[in-house]
Amino acid sequence: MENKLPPDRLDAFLQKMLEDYTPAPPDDIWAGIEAELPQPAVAPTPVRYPVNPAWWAAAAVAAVMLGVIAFQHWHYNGQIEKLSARLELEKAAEGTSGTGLADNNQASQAIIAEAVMGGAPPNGQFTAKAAAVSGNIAANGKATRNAEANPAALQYTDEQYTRPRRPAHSDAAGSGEVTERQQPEQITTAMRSEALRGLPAAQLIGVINRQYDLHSGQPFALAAPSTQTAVLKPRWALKARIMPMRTRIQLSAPPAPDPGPGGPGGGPGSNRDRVFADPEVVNGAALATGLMVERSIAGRWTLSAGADLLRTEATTAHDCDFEIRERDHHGGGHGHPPRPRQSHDFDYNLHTAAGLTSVSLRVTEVDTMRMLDENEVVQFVVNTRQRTTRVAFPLLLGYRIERSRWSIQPKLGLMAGFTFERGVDVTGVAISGAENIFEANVKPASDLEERLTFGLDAAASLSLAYRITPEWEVGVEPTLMHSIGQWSGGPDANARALGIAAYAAYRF
Amino acid sequence: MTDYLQQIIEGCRQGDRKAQRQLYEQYKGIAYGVCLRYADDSHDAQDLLQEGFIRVFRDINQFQGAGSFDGWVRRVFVNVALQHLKKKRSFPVAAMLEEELNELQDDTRWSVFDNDDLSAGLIRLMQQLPTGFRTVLNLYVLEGYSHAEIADQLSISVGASKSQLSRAKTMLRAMLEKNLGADSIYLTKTGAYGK
Repeated sequence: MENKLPPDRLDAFLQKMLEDYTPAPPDDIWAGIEAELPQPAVAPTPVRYPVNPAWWAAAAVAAVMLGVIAFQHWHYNGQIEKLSARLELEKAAEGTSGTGLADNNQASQAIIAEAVMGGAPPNGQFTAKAAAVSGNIAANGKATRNAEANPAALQYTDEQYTRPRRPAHSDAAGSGEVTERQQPEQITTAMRSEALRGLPAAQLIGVINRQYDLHSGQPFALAAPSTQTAVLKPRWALKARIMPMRTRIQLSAPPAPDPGPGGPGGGPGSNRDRVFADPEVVNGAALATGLMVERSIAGRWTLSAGADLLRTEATTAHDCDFEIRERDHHGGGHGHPPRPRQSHDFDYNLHTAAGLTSVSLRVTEVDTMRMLDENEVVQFVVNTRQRTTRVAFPLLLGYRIERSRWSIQPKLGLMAGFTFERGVDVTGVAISGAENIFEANVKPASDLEERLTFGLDAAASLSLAYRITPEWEVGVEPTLMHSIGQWSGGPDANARALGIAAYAAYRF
Repeated sequence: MTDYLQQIIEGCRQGDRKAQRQLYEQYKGIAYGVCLRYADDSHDAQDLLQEGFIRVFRDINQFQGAGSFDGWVRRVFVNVALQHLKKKRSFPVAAMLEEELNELQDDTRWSVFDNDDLSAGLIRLMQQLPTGFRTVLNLYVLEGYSHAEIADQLSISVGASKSQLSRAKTMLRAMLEKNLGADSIYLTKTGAYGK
């Protein structure tokens, strides 16, 4: 380090006079500085909705669930009441005719009454059957825990079916004396209904629809196989799922922008009239969460409906360039002649997935020693980010194939949804050329506002599930979605999304 | 650093226009004084002042709180002034001929102290110095740079820096002597002016 010479008196004089000298500059200096500073980013005015879209989604899910529960309640209650009424009618007819059951259909119904109530058969028949099941039916007519826990307890055998009938009123010794027919316990409709309600849902379904063949009217002895269980496949499933997705939007040709006004940067052929459509594809990511209800409609066919909440984010790099010849003239101010320009304001039109947006930039020279060429081209990369929130309502038709605990189910259907678009945020500007000359010192703001659009997608998926308990299963479901149409002002874009959902389902 | 200044700096970092205005109001005097010392005239100084504040607001994130903020602002303005000089391609400055010095003294209006304070008059005298002389004088005497640092900043030799400093002082003394008359003897012989 070089030793400085001892300060002489002139040095001390200058230091004393000038070090703390604070003259007042002209008043208009600040205006010149302010004009050169980046304009504060003005956030687009958000569109206010009376209710947050997330609440709409929650309400839709709640409504679907409520509908499912109400339908179940109505459906099974109706079946119980109908069954009880038929048994009452049959009992009344039997008491009138005194001839026993008229046909096998009536016999099958009588077995139900016997099984449910635990009493003696109306006509003395099928006592073996009654004995087989009475151990599972309490004296008050309700199903016991044994019957609930062991559906096989309601099974019956060929022996029980093929036992020969006895006449309702027999002459035991051939003496012509008629024995007293054993009268069943007085059964009321309310008691039967109560007994049926006590059965597990799966067994009740078996009682009503299959095992006892109440609806087909087939002869009882012919219809029953050697062994049959009352446990059936559940018909409903409630699914909760989460699905990370990759999105891809193929942009169409950009629309021609409105001719800008005259003045710096404007007019025919100016940068302001140009639209930067690069890139043509916007890639992004999304996360979907939702609830679905699935119903077995016929055989292996299923129908699924529900609601999903998707949040997407797409980032894009737009390659842009600007010709210096069209730079704005920036005066020197303060009453001086214009000095060599140091800042240049550019306006761009970027073609984004959210539509055409104009972006304002300012570029400032770093190396002021370098004179700009009149035809010099400055190249930029403008990075944008678009975020959307979508509430979608899928409706899918599936075909479920089961092997042991595994199941596979291809699905095809539609997804209708409302998309809440938040415009485009410009996250940064980088100069890809001539770094030693320019710098971007303005964070531009998009002029796009938030909006709500409606769209319809086609959806296809393939579900692979594993049943861990009779009620619960888990699975994965690769899903592909493709936009069919979009309304309410959305850009004409071809969008796709591919994701893999992980879900847990409760089947009942 | 006071909390008030810290708040202003934080506001400037976030691009708050109100905070920028407050910072400008607080430092405009100091900054303008620096600019006047390096500029050829007041118009030139105003340009430096404007460009310097833009640089301060742009680079304020580079100030990490180590050291004085006043000192950091001064360094920004000195750097802006030096870049301005490079742009004008005024270095290296050739040795000034005696004839030019005589012409300069003859053309100088020695009424700089008549109607103004001493510091403003002194500034005007310094602005009469050749750019190279003035710059070296500022850097050495008022900014505290060594000749090696000056040589590095201005891309000149250490010897040239010393030579220009010596010539700058000689010129300035001559200007003061002619302008202040007998009073200037205090600067060169007996002590600082005003004692």
